[in-house]
Amino acid sequence: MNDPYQVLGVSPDATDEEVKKAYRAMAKKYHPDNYANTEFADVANEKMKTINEAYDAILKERAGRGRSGGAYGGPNDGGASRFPRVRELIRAGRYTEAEVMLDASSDGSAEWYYLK
Amino acid sequence: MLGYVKCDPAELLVRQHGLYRALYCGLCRSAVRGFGVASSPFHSYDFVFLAAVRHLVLNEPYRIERRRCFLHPLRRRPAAADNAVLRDTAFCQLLMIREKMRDDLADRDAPFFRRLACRLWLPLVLGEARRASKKNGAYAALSDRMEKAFCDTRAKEAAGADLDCMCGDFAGILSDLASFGTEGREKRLLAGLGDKLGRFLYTLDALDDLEKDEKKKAFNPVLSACGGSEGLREKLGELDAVQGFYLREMDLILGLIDGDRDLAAICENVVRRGLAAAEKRVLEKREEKNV
Repeated sequence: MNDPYQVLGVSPDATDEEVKKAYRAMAKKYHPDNYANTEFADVANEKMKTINEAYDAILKERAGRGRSGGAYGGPNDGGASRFPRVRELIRAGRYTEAEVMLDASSDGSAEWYYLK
Repeated sequence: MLGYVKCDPAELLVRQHGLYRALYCGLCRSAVRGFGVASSPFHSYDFVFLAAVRHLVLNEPYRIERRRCFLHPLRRRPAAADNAVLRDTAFCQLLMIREKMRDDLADRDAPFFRRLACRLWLPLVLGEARRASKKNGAYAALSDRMEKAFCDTRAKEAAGADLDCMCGDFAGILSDLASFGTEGREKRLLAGLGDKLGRFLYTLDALDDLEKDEKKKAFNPVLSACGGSEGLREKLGELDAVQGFYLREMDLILGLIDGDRDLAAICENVVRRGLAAAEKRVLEKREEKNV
């Protein structure tokens, strides 16, 4: 994969908010709905996949940098999740929709912050 | 159909406009060095857009040099250095000039001096195209396809084919020229762009020639589609909407192309500003005449 920061058009020093803003702008531009009735839907989907992978890579890299260990485990780490739909959306790569759902139900729990 | 594909210089950065003009000079130089001087008097900005798009899609590096030319012998001016993209685009321009001259010669209503100039200059253009085709098999194949495509188009115009058919034919021609020598994803993007540009330009040219064709009672596919000048006013709104659709499609295709930011800015400027302004001029001219 190309440099994820280059894909999103941000510098590596950009804040999380700037990265998120750049991701949203690109997701809006290359959303498959914009190209649904054109012959380039597959090219747009490929582009969207690249953008999602780049955003994912940046988030993982930054989470890895900031992790202090002992935090809430993985998605399948015992106990029923209170946000199963949000987890599904994250697994499907639909981060914007997942974020909208989380914002709508901000209960301040550890799981909420983890998913955020 | 030449002369509509230009940028809006006021909306480009100074360095981007400099690059646009350097591509114009570079394209002329590549044409002269590669094929000869026949296309120089008819050199236009239309193919600069094609050169910029091909550089962008193919990620071909470019270099700007400072050069003199026979039109500017005193001061050196920035010109893009010769490369494969410029040479291929220059050949495409040579073929379009050849076909336009053939069209003008076949048009009995064209002014006398224009037909005379074509009669004198066309052999030079034909000679250059033939020599280039002998050296390069791909050029020969493209030249043959263009000759056949334009021949078919002239026959259909003479038979009075409808606007969709004529737009489709011209779209096929521009699609072939734009995607010449490419494959895969690049070919799809360039062919798609050429297709929409061809449809847009054919309709725009027909709209621009409406008054002239009405007076001479010559074939005009827009007039035929509107059922004469009476139905034209109602149909102009629809045509404008369709033209807007083609511009948006071109913009969407350009959005899928990653590459040099200055080239991307030039291409977006031509589509969003230059072509839109050309259409607005043609429609306003038409409205003034009607008023």
